[in-house]
Amino acid sequence: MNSRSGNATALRRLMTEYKQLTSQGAPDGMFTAGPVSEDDFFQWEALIMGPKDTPFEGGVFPARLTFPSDYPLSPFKMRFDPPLFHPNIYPDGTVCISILHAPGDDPTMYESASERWSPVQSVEKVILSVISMLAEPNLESGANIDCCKLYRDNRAEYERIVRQSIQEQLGL
Amino acid sequence: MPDTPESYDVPPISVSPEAPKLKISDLPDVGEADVNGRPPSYTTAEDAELFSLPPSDLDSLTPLQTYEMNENFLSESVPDRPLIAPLAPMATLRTEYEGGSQLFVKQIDWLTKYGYAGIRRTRGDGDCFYRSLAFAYIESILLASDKALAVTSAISVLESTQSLLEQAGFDRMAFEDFYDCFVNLIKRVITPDNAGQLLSSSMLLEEFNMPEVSNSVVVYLRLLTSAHIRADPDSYIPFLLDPDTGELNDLQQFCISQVEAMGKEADHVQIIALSRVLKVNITVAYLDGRPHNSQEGKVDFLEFHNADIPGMNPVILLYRPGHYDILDKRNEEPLE
Repeated sequence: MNSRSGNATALRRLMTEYKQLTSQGAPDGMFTAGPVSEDDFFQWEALIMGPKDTPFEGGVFPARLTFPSDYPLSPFKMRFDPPLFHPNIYPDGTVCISILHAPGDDPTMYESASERWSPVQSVEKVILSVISMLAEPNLESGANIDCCKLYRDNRAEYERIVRQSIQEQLGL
Repeated sequence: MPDTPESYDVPPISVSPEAPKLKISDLPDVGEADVNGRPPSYTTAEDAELFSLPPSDLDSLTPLQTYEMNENFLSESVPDRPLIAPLAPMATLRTEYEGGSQLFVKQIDWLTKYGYAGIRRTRGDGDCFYRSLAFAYIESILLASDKALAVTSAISVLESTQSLLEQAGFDRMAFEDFYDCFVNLIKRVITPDNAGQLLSSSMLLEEFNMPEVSNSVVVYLRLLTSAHIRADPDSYIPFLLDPDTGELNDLQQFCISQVEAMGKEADHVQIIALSRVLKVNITVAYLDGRPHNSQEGKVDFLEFHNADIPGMNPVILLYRPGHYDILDKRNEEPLE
């Protein structure tokens, strides 16, 4: 069993989500996700395809999902490794998105109507939200301020940097 | 049973303004005393300062400030208190108010005089309404004159709620574990567990103090409340007020931020919705420290009654501003 203090509810839920993701697959094959190792269901890796018609197109982005022992009462954390250059991703790669925060938990003062974490969310729903966030950054809850400024003031340069970093990542 | 005001079959617009949830002047606290009946102790300097304010200063706070202050006390009182405590005599509650508001003391005496001898406290973590209700609901099944009938009726109702949740847009995968946990507890009233034992009051208390079990039940009740409100928007939309701003929320926003989210207090709308969808009769006694012209210390009882279930008593909760506990005619745990 895993060495972390995961409880039975969390483990059962994570296994159900994993089973569902592997049997049905993600919509349009937009991502894959699963535990890093069979011994620890509380650490997942996701591979996210860069959405079409965005500077991220053509890239595949690995992210680490870390689940708390009281999942799904509390949300998991998601970190792109290596980090992505994006207004809503911290320089260390951690994703800042409202759906990964419970209502009332407002690190960057999201608008109150935005989607929030609750136990009825899931890995799939969160990753789909992250994919649409890649396509449409939310400048009101910026995590990378320099990137926010660049996105706002010089969109072409922002897109160039993103594309370049994808090529570098692939050793091109 | 003391005189009760009319029961409400519709969301009570005429009642909401009377809800005393923001009135906390003179209120010593709503944290729990420990099992020995000692008053709760607060250690931080800020607490000491706030408690030493004379009532007039408390009165000058806005409703939002008093609400937040109350919330802070509740959340700071959380860590070492049980999720649900064993039954304690009303006298333990009275001791806490003796140095404070005499109105509260009179109301506690009034409750005692009318046979409400005990209180079962829940942790002030924002889930107290749902947790109190869940515990008292299962206990009422446990104490029903016909247990088999009570279990069957409860599970029939709960089974039908799964499709309601799916219609509300919740994935079965996302709620089935919470559902199973809740239903299994109820089944154990008449079906022995692996150790061959039926659920007893003390086992129920033990289960409800395990966060995994307790919170699973709370989550299911929250989803159920939300699904019911979503399924019947016409009845609820005019009453979906944001407790912080007092403004109307849209349905989706209200359900997500005020119902489904853990730690968010329940107000009348949630109580009405849950009592209807769970088909459970809920009576709430308001220990609010408000002077009553007709009778000194009288406590108002609000009834949220929807079902006529023979052999089942309504679940009786005790409301103090910002908090729910369970009210009981017994003053200690039954011997088994």
